[in-house]
Amino acid sequence: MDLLYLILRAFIQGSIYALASIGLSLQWGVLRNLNFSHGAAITFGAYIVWFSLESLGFTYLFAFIAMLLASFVLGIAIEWLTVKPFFAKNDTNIFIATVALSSIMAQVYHIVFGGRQKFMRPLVDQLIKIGPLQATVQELLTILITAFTLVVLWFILQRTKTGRSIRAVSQDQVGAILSGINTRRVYSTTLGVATMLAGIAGMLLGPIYFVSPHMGESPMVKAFIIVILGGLGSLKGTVIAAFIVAMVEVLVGRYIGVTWAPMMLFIIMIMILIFRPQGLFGVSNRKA
Amino acid sequence: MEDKKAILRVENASRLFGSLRAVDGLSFEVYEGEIFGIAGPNGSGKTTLMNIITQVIPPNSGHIFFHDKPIHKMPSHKICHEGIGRTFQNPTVFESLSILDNMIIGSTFGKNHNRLQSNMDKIKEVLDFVNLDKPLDRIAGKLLVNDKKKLMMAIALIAEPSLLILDEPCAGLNISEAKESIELIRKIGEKGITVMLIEHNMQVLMNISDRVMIMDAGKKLCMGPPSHVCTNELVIEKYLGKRTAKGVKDIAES
Amino acid sequence: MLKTTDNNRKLLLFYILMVLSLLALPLFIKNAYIMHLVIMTCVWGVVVNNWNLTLGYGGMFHIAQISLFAVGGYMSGIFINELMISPWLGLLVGGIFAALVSLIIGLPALRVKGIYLILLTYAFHYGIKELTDHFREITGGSMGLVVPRFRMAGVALQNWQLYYVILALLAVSVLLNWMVVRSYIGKALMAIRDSDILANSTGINPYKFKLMTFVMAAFVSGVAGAFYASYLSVIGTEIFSFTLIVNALGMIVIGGMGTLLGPMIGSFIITFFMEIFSGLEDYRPILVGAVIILVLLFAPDGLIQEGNKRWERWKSRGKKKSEELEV
Ligand SMILES: Nc1ncnc2c1ncn2[C@@H]1O[C@H](COP(=O)(O)OP(=O)(O)OP(=O)(O)O)[C@@H](O)[C@H]1O
Ligand SMILES: [Mg+2]
Repeated sequence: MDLLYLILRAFIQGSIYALASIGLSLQWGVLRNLNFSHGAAITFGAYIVWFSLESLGFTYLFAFIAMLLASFVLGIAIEWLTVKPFFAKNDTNIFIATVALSSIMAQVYHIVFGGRQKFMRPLVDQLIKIGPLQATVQELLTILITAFTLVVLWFILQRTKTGRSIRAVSQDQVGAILSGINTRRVYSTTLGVATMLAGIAGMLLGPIYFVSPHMGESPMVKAFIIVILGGLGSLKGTVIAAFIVAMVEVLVGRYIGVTWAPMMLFIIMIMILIFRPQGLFGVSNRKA
Repeated sequence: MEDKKAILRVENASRLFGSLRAVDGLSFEVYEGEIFGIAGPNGSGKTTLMNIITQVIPPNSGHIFFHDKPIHKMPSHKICHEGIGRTFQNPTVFESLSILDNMIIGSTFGKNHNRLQSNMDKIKEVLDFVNLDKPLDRIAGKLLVNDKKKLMMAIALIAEPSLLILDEPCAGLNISEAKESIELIRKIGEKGITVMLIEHNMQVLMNISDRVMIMDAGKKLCMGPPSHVCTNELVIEKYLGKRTAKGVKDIAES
Repeated sequence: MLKTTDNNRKLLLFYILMVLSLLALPLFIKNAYIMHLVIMTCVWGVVVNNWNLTLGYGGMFHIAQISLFAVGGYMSGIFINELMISPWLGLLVGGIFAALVSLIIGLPALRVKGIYLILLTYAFHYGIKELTDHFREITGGSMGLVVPRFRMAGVALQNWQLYYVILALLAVSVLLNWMVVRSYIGKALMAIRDSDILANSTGINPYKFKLMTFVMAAFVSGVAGAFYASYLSVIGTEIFSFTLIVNALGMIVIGGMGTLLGPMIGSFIITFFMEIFSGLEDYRPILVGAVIILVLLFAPDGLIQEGNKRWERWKSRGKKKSEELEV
């Protein structure tokens, strides 16, 4: 029964990890670049929701919508500032620019909202117990929201024109350009969507941890591990890897010791790099 | 032809990308001292074939022998030390470095020296040979396409390879530049270097090659001397088309 | 080509003057705090000098240099405290451990291409931080590890003496870098940075050269870390703060990535910049970040090169005008 409980915990944790990393993976697919400000984007989502709820008195739904809009705009701004000037010319500079940007953003949060941790109230504040299993309603909602978000994302990628062009570009840059796709637009849309996904992750993380200027950094480290494990650019792999990482964390935390979990992940990551650098589900090693 | 010695022997080599068989169970030999032409439709696996010979992309299966030595498990740099030089379809040079540095890198590492080799006479000689007459301190990234291609060729040549693999050296050049490039390849052949040449223009290919292989969907469609290849039914049907076939045939026979 | 000898002589003179003034520096600086800043400039100078060797020349995207610096500091401190070795020996211990650790991450990570290295080193950075937390009995955890100061003949060294120690390390580091860059190793690194595929088929084994440089750079940074710990007589987990990574990157970018002396000038600028604007407190990281992005956008070769370019253009413009007048 203990095991069943652990699996439930891993499922909750894994959902958030999936949301936190899928944006990175999407971005890698399209831009072949990693965005170091992804963690700051997670934090951004949390702050916007917190601010909308506490200071503007929005309902959760409106706070959510406000967060989505703001995150999308932020994503476009990130692309404009850190990717556009250097794309296809200097990958190192994109990397450095996003590092610098993430530091700027964290400090802006610090100045605007203060360094103190903020408590974000959950959507529903209730505990559910079924036999030995127990979870807050918020945690169950987290799983639902993640599932819903992933389905919507899947729908967008498969069925809409924007989604199809995103997939086209991530499969073949040159071919996409030749077939008349406006790759510039695809790049900024992708960053917008990726940042929205990060924002949703932030919103869900808020009530579980506290909202603080650097709260997005540790999920970002996990997200990096997850995208490697899942295979850079493979969305399916990313989601599965998110649950694997959560499972490892929960199990190691329970049976070996909480402080050993990060070490374990690190070891797994090295193993993957040595034996299967394309990740568990990755196919493309075109331009790693 | 029978008593010629094979410098390169490819046996049943394959490379897959996902489910796509880019090179599919290919076998052939390249003889010492010849110019071996390769042609085929876009995506037929020519570049991939070059990549698996030089291990830029390792083959999934098959054996490759160079001077009877197996090289299908060797890393790229060792293959270079063995004496296979190559150029790339897209002009690739060391962009941020000067022409001189590019050449020094070629002559130092091409033969696995661990001290910088900067013999100016030799560098000048090779640059003269490929007819690149830009100042030595010019940054390679600032060169035009044709000059980049010449430099790329010079980097490969200064390591004194015994087999030189050229991937569409004339692509993207204008007619007079392409002519110059073809002349250069002929000169390389005359120096006794074996050449594998990928070229889309059949007239050019038939004219310069001793033997030709036509590829299609990763397989060998036909191989032999130019006159033989251009009369092959399959080649005409699948690749050349009737009209081109006639023109090419005239050239091959002349 | 002929002019360079003349230029070389000028440069040599410049270098000699620079070295002399660096040697004479303690004579002019009486303020203890400024002396401290100068020492810190040199410490960060060593770190960014080596980070630049791997990142700027070798094109290896990684953020491990500060983590390795921290490994050097902590291991030296732990050995000094637990095994009672002298801080001088600690310098060596720090270097060796940093090199060992860099070998452990470099062996798998340098085998695959760029991006994995960033990811791995980023996770590594946090992994080391977690480890220091985990073993807090010997690392001091968030309280920091207290490390004995350098002594000679039983007397604790003063800052102006320590300045010469770190200056010597900086000199060794720069010299080593200079030798590497000029040698066949440097050419191989730059070739790999420009195109690893072409480099590989030109006979270069990218893995070998990258690993070699990565480990060497780690060793020197580890020694600097050991110096840092003993100099400040404490090393704490704030060494893992992201701000330090950003600052160090700033030093490299501002001074000029892939140049030998640029990053050290960057180190000087950032260290003193942080001090001059200390009144701005919270706004400093924003300023540093903004400066980095602006430099990337408008002077991607660094301020030194950019200044040089402007100056040359300005000079030649003057020349052109005078030529026109003569005609
Ligand atoms: N690294 C790769 N990853 C995935 N697919 C690849 C890769 N390299 C080549 N391919 C695919 O393999 C097939 C053969 O490609 P290849 O470049 O060898 O053809 P080619 O004969 O050189 O064509 P071209 O005349 O256009 O140069 C193509 O369908 C191509 O899309
Ligand atoms: Mg090709």
